[in-house]
Amino acid sequence: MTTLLDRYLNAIRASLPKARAGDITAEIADELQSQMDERQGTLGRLLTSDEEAAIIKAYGHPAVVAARYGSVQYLIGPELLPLYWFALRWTAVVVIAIELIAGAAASLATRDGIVFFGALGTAWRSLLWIFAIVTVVFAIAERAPRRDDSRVGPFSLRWDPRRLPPPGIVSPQPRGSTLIEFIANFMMLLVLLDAGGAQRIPLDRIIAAALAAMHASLTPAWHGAYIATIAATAVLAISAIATFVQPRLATLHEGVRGLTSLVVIAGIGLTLTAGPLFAPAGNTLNTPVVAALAIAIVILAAQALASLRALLRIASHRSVTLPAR
Amino acid sequence: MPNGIAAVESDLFESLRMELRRGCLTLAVLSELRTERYGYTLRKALEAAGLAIDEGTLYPLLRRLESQGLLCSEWREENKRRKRFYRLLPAGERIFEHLSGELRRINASLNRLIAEAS
Repeated sequence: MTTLLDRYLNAIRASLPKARAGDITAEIADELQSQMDERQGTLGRLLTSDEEAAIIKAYGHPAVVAARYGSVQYLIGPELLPLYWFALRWTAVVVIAIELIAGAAASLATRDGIVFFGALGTAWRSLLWIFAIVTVVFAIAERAPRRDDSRVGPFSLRWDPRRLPPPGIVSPQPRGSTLIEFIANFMMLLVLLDAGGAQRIPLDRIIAAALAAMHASLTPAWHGAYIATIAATAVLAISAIATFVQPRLATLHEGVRGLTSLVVIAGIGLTLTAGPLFAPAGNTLNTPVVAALAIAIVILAAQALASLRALLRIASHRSVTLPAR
Repeated sequence: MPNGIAAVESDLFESLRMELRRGCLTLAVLSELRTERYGYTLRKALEAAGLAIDEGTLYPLLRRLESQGLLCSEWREENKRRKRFYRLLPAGERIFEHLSGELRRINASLNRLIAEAS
């Protein structure tokens, strides 16, 4: 059974370098267990979950504890580091989102896809500025006099060990990967929708030209797969950026991954049952493309199953361990 | 003294006190680890000696001293629990001797200065 201590150690482990994580958390576990034993000895009874939570909370927020094992010479110390990352992330996401939306709007208005790629360049410069400004602000705050150097960090006061996720629920994927997932899906969506509107991202022309060389063309049977892919890509992009901003949504994101895989499977299914994929009928392309789509279905089904397994594992942890509040 | 100024001075005092304590804590840890101890008992021993140190400071400090070659550690089972025991290495003992000599000299000088000033 997962205890509060397991959850706490798991949360610390998530912020430590893998090579040292096991060693450091083992020692923290021993220290906390010793404190609990001593308290139990004083009280002459087992500790309640509230008493255990109080001891764990007094040890410090997982992010702050993990940050203390970082480099000695720091620009931003362990107490402010979690807030620094939080501020950096939020500022970056809000500013970049505004710039990308403005870029997409300008691209649609001018019917020129290149305008959007210009906005991407501006967004990179903005990222550098955001990094510089936020870092300077926090470096100044770090050096401002404080009443003491104990647990007064902004994350230290309002967290509750009982709300930490059980092991296996803290997102197993690095934070950056959800950002990359967002960017990949966002770009894919723009390509699918031809955001420039003036064939500056001429996916359909490229496909049409390639097919023309083979004396073939797409049939309306593709609509099912096309619409399902657009819907799945849009939902995945939204879910990925939401998870990047708020890692607690990792569970929901896993569910979204599974569902979108099913949606695309359904779309491909509609396409496969809607008749020939290429005109004229009897085109030699039909057989290999149908086989490729069947393989895609198998891969997507495996993804959906993997997501389902992850969700079941999370559900079983929760049903056993969530404390009554 | 107005409250605002008192608060500023209090902050400043805290900051200077922490600075003063920091070096002393390293010496205190080295001193206590001339006898092998694990983290929890080390913290308790320091607390009993009037040098309370919170866990978030102690364990990273132990790791730093270990990486500097002054301490060594070993995981062993005691009372059915695995514990990490620390003790000074010869280099740590030499550094401890030098540092405690230095502290005695600093203390003597400071005592003279403080006595002259008062």
